[in-house]
Amino acid sequence: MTTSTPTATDTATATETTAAPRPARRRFRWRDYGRPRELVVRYLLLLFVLAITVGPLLWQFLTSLKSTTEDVFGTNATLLPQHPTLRAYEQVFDQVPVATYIWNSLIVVALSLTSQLLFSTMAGYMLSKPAWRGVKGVWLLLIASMMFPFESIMVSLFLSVRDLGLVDSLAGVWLPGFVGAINVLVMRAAFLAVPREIEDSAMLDGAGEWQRFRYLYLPSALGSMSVVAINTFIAAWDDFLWPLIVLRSEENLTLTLGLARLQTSSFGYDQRVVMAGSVISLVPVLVLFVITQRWFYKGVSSGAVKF
Amino acid sequence: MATQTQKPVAGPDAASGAVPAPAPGRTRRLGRALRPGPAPGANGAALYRRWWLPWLWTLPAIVCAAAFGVFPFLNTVVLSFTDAKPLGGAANFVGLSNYTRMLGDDDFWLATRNSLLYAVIVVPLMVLLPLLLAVLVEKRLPGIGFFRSAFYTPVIASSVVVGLSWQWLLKDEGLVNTWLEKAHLIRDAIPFLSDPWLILLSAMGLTLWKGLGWYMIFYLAALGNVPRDLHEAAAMDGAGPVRRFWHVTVPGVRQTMLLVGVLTGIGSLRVFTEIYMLGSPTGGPGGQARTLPFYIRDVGLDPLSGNAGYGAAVSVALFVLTLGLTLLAQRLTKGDEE
Amino acid sequence: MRARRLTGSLTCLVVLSLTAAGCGLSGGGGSGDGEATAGSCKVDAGNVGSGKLTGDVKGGITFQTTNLKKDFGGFFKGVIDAFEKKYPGTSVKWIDDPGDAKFSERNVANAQACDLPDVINLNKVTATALTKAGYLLDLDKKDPGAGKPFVPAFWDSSTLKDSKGSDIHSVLPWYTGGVNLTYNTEMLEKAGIDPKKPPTTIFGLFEDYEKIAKSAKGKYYATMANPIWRIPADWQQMDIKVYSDDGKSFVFADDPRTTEWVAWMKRLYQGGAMPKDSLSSSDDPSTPYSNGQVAYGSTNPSFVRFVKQNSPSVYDRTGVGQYPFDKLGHTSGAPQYIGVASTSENAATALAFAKFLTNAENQTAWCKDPNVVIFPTTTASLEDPFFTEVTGDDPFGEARKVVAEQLKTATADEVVLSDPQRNAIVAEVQLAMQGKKSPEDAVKDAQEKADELLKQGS
Repeated sequence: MTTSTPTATDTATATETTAAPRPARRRFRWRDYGRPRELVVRYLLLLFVLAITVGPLLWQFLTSLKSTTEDVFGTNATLLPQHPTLRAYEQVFDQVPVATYIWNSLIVVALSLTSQLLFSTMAGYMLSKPAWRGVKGVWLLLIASMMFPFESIMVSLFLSVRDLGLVDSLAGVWLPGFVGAINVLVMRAAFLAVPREIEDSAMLDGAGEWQRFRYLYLPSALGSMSVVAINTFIAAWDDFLWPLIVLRSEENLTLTLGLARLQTSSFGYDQRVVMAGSVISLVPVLVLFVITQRWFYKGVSSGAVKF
Repeated sequence: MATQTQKPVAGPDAASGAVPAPAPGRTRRLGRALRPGPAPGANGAALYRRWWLPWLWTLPAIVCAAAFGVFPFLNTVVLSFTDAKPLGGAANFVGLSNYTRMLGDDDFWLATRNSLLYAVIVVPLMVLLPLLLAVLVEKRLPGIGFFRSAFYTPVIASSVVVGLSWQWLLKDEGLVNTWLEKAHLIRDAIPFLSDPWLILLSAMGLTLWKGLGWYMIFYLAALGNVPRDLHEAAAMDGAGPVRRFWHVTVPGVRQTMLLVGVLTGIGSLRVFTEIYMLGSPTGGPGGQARTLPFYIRDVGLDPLSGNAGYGAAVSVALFVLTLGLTLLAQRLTKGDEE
Repeated sequence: MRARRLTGSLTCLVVLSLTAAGCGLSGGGGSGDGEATAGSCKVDAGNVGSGKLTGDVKGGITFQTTNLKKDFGGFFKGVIDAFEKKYPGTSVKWIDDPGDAKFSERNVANAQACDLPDVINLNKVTATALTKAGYLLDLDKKDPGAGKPFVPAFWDSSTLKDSKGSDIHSVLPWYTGGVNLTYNTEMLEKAGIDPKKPPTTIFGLFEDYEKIAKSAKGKYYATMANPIWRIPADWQQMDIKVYSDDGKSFVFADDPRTTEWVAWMKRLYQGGAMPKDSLSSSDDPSTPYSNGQVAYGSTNPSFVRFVKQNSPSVYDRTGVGQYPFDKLGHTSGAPQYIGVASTSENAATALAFAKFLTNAENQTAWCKDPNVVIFPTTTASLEDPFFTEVTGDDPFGEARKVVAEQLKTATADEVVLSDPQRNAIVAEVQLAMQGKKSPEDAVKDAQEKADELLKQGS
């Protein structure tokens, strides 16, 4: 519906990422990006979606900036903080050892990223090849493994982790999902999307399978790999129930667990601090997303291989 | 990477030149791009002479799925034939009685209906809306990185925040009702939070809202693989944006659409959090918006009054339902393809 | 062909698991050979059966609280240090469970793994479940004198049922919060209610709700609609019998006052005393109370602190009153408990720590924390002037006075429903309040559903 008319710039951006010498930086001109009417429609749509997606969250963010003398709720409460302050954020750091929590979360994230990216790429690639016996069975196994209601397997999982001696360790948090079926399927879909004729002609050109994997498939799946990366990051970062069951010691808690402290106290809590905690846990993911988002949209057409 | 060993490099004379290349220009260029690698080698015919190779590559995934998915679930299947309790202790073999109880339980069927309804409504929307969104943010425009990131925030917002925000939107005096009243579209507030049907619908809205950004990036990655020249060719033929969307974009991301369909199908049948946020903890008035996972929690998991055996039986039913529907969908889309 | 293969593998799966079920059962069922067990765990024979607990107070134990580190970290470190000093050779590892909501899942997993913390802070529902499955030390047998320091009314009423259905002491009472009424004095006065004279019956409170609804004219409400926190507390306060004598079935529907109570709730809901959207979505009045949208706040005395922190302007208009005693004549406050796991490998040390933590000295010290309204459960602590002569006339001081007053007669025999049982009953009451079912039918169906859950769990 909103597919753009290809313009000169499209090709320009596509080339930008290749090894080809960068064209000299040109002066910014709106008309490089499309016809005025189309641009207006696009931005209106973008703003509309922006209101829907971020609007509901904005109020919470603003709450975290309010000072203690302001009402958080009620008719006296204003949308914008009257005396914006970072006090709530300081309190989060005072009340719980945020740095330790973040460090622990990062360890789980690092372990997960490594195993997920490596193994889901490998498995996804093989599953995209129909040329071996058992491919259907493995596919079915992976699909099925996503369908078990977590609560119903949780206790058995915990018993396995205990038998491995991993209770109260970050490895125990990481292990049961060290390669997620969902990521394997994402990679499989990415590899399947590589047109067959390209592979055929690469074969005719004499490229062996490893070469085709390395120089054709891998570059064209970069986008999906970054999707896997961000998904993995979030899953490891946000998980609550499983770490809660595995971890015990204060020094091992992950950020989500640690921040839960702020809001479940039966002795009252400060809404501003709870919101500040949420913002703190959201920021690293958002930063990562901002950095990686340019990679999502990378495939055959703009990766290292171009045609 | 231990995978270096696998490549069947350097066949004797694979003769890339000898084959009459059908070679549309771009494949020849592709060949050049591939050439920096080791010498041209064996071709497809020699694929997997080492039969264990594919297994080696998929082994970690198989181990993970088997050890941390199938194995614990087999345990659940075993439990479903017993009257085990969540806190352990002696259990008795009770045959199929958990299953017969399930089939005769109105609450089970209500939960099944809700879960199915959820899937039927959410899946098509979740396959389509994020794709449209991805198409919207696909093009590099000034500030597009900001928009992409902003659209993604619902995915990472903590559930406390999301719960509070949505209640604030949907209350009788919430934002949505206030606006509709101001616009004179309604006279009395719409009971989003006290009518079981509306709770279900609102929860679906919440699922979609959270899923938009999540699946948007799936599609963004996939759109990168839609050959641009197809768009150009279609445009040259005079196809408008709508036709190009259906005839170029959609076929180009077909695999991803199937994937998203399967994932959202599985997710919909397992929905719990959204209903809990909006209709907690009974699952709407009278428990009428309860879904299957909700029901499992109520009958199976509670340490005091739960029956782990019965809960396991319902889990098995949920699994069979999910698998059955997935395979059915697979078959249907296959037929569609051929 | 593919279909056939699929059916084949499914059949295989079923056969396989049936066989496994048989094996598992024959393996686990043979626990009659003299080995001591709790749940499915083998335990030290000295921890179960008759005879006092023996063993030296030595070695390491773990101690789990529920989200107390943030507010009281310093206090607990002090207690642990003092204990380790008093008993050289011991070490206590403190775990603070961060989440309330998933508390039971975590304990279930730990219990199944035979790995419960040695000393655990429990609420009554979890304590009931663990006692029934045999995971907690039977104090009547293992330490007959354990109850001495506690207020007799509390100790005598804090029994739980073991696997055979007999009443035993398996936990030590710890601190208690009490209940009170918190309200917006301005709204009460506008409705012609004297904030200084709180009602003495539940239905009296309902009448006040109705008066508020009349004077508010839809601008605000009296209270939240979700009946979840009133069940079974209100019924118990009205002295309605919830369980049969043997505890094997529910009997609340046999008392006509239960139906009357539901009819009242329906009248209040439909008469505008409660926000329509709060029927199932939220039972927490914290936000709307701080918003000035409802007249009555939470019955947790520490709620006053929340109001003070989040809505300074509403705090100035907040009043506190005694909770209606109704026919029961006193409150049955739910104290927090401390239990000792029977799976503990160091039970003697664990028990010593549990008693040390709940002794008069430590309870007094903690409950004097100025930021919370909590009270000790030992006789000696309650004689401390800090708790007998409560001063201060701000809402916070008032709340303390009210709770100190009610603790003179309070018991700990709070009626326990499992979450699903309570949800099942609440769900039927909600239908009645919406007018989709008559109160009579709702009460009858509620009893039926709760009974089914009771039966499947035993």
